[in-house]
Amino acid sequence: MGACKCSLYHCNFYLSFYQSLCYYIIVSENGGGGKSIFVLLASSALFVFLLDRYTLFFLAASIVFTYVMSVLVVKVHKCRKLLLAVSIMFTLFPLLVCKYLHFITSEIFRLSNDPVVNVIIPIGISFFTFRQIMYLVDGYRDSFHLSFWEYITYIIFFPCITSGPIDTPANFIAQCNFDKSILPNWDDIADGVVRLIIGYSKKLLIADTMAKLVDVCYQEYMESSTMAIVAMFAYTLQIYYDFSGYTDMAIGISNIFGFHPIENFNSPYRSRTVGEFWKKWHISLTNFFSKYVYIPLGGNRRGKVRTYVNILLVFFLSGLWHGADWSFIIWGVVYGFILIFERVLQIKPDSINSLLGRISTFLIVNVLWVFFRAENVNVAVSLFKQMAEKRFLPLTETAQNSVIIPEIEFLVMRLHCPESLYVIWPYIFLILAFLITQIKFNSRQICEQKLYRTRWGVALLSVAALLSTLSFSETSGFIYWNF
Amino acid sequence: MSSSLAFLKRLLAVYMVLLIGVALTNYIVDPYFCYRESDMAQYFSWDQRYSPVWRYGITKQYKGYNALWVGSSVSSYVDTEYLNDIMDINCCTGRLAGGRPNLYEKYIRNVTANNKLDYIFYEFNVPHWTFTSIGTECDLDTWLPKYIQTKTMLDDGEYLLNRTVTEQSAYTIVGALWDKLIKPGSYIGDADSIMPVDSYYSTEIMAPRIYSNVYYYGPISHEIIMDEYLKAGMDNIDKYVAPLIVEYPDTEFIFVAPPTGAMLPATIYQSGYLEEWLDISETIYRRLLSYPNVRIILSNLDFDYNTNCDHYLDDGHYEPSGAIMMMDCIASGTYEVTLDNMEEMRERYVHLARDFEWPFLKINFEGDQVSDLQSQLVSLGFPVEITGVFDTATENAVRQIQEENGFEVTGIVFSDTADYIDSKCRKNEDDKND
Repeated sequence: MGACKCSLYHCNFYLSFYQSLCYYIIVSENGGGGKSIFVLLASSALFVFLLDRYTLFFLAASIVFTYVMSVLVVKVHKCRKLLLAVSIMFTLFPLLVCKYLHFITSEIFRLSNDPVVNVIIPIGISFFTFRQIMYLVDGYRDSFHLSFWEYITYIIFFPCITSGPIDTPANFIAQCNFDKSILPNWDDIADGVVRLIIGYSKKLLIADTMAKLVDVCYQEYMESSTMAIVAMFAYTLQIYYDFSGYTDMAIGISNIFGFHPIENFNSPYRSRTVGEFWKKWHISLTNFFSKYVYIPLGGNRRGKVRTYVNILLVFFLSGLWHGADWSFIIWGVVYGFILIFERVLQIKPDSINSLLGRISTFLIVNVLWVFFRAENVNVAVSLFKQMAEKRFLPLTETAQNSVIIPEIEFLVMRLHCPESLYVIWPYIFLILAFLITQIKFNSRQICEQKLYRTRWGVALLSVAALLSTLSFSETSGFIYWNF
Repeated sequence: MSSSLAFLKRLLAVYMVLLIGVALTNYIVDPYFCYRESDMAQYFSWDQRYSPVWRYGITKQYKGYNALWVGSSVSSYVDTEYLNDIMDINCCTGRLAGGRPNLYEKYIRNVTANNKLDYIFYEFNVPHWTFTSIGTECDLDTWLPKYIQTKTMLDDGEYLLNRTVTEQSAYTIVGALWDKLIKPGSYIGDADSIMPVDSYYSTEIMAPRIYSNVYYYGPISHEIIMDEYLKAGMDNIDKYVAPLIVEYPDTEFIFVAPPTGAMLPATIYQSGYLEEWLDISETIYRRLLSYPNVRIILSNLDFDYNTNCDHYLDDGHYEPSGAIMMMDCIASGTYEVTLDNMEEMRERYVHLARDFEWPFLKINFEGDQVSDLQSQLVSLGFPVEITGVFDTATENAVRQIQEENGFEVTGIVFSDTADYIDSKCRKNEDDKND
């Protein structure tokens, strides 16, 4: 985890974004026609190429292979199931090698700790592998079929290539009117711009500042219980703002191009049960797992015990997908057990006290994110032990300084606010960030219901855009890039 | 539909007004006191840590001080409270100037405008000096090994000189040559603008200079390098230092060595130019000491501190304790160089350079450490002769080892490679004994 080629990413992201925007305008002014798919394709390919050449070559090979296999699955009448199984195996194979080879050799077979082979992990490999599998399975189930160029565009559509959302092929292609000339749709563009600004603000203003606090707290949590609790709480907020910020950006850019990918978040921290949480967190992944793993396993149609086993299996896989380590597996499996528990006791969002449900769900999610963030299980356990010691000291100075923003410094240094502001600011920041997650309207609703079309909307958004612009230079990498 | 367009227009308008407002406010308030000074404009793009713009503004605000510390990297560790205590002064600072004597001069003038100074502590960064004023190239083969593996302009220069032009360098060279008309020995770009850390721009500036000179003059001889080095030092003194010394006769100028410690003289020793380098240094010191209000204190002559690699943050910078050591030397006058003890200074440098144990070995290095490495390589079956000089055969062997074992292939023996070779040899011996 941590920073990756972020500045490069930003630079390239803008480049292909603006470039494709220009092309779009050129194409639409010239009557466009069928050319625009190639424009989108070319910009996406350029984006991936600039990001990581190796990924592009890998993708090309993978796309050709999967496409050929999908044609066979649709066209051939014999042994379709076998064909499908084989093609899924081959599509999954690189992902498995990249992510799990090291884990298998070092943890399961207890071989040496050095990597067996140095694998370069293509960027976004999980996400495009999943999309390819979706296409293969949909082709098998519904004889769903795309032209080759449409298929490539679907796989490498650049706003979504690095971390999703994992759109279904049917949903994606339904929006591609490549035969008509493209006229700018100002409603979509306004939605997209608003979404983009919200995404940037979430990422640059909240997640990145939170990241500094999280890093310090996870290093120094032995100092006091307060540090350990802040570490837990801050990471819960960081991962939400980081990933949902990314998703808002990806969807915002897609909107500008007239695409409406599937949503990934729906105010997850307002959930009343853990089951509801998983319907609102990383929705496209949950959908993928339920449609392509849970239901094929039998879903809830084969009796109670089998349902529970299926849930457990799905969450085990989800944990394993997030990272090849025991802590991720524990994270997934515990969620599985909690979901089974909710099913057994018939706990449903509407059947319990809303406030109580929200608080308890948020706490459970908090605790489990610790396993997600900690380097290994021991760290997670010692963090909890530290909390149990009940040594409530103030935050360490490094932790405090990590979240001090220039505005606060200005208040103290120039406007002579008391210096104790430095001490309470981290808590204010955490509480504010938490409260924002509890707002009734989320970014999707703000765009769908056009809530931004007020004076306040313009004012807040332009200030957010300004602040984001001013903090561009300090961006760190996205957490979900590593999955 | 139209209301969406209207919204977008309004959003863009407000955003632009805010952005222009911020920029304008910044300009009017001028927090750094230098937006309207044209010769500071080139420093606006420096990165935050080395932002002279920021320091420049601060130095204008100092009042009530009687001493000033100007310097670069290691000076950022100088704790003025400690210095005030041990020397009974009241000291302010202008630090992290990237070793640019022109900036030091500005800082000093800013502070002397409002303060009467008894002392000016001046960290004179010899390596930076040379680059600041050398228009022609350059003392690369002396200085480069020290900067190995760093992300500076020198890094790119090193690629070029070693003929291992990477893709990145090759690309930027083409880009740079394309734009710029190259005249022999011309002064293309200012070393000051090299600082913005991004290697693209640094190569862009370095590459044409190196290439134009190599193209017109052939490979640079070390006589030229040494001449240029001396000229650079003297030029800087004439332009930025001597006028100040003359102008403020009551102020004591205390020149302090940079934090380059033992690695710099040791590198030069490895290249075989130590005596010439010492001659040049001596000339520069004598020139400075010709003024009565100048003292020179070379804390990097402290053998024990400087040869201990634990005291370094990286290959050219002390860790914070280095600043304490420097301040103690200043207060006690230890390692002060005078016109009478030049010989002693030279001996100390030679001792430091010769007896320093390198944390890494690379091509052209000489000495017992290299012989030891070579005999290890021989015992592992590589076709290497034990000559005590790190030659191409040795480098190839090292590369092969690095490639086979998943290390980064550099041909340079860092501790990971060295440890690996050690363990392999030990294992071989154990096997034999069994």
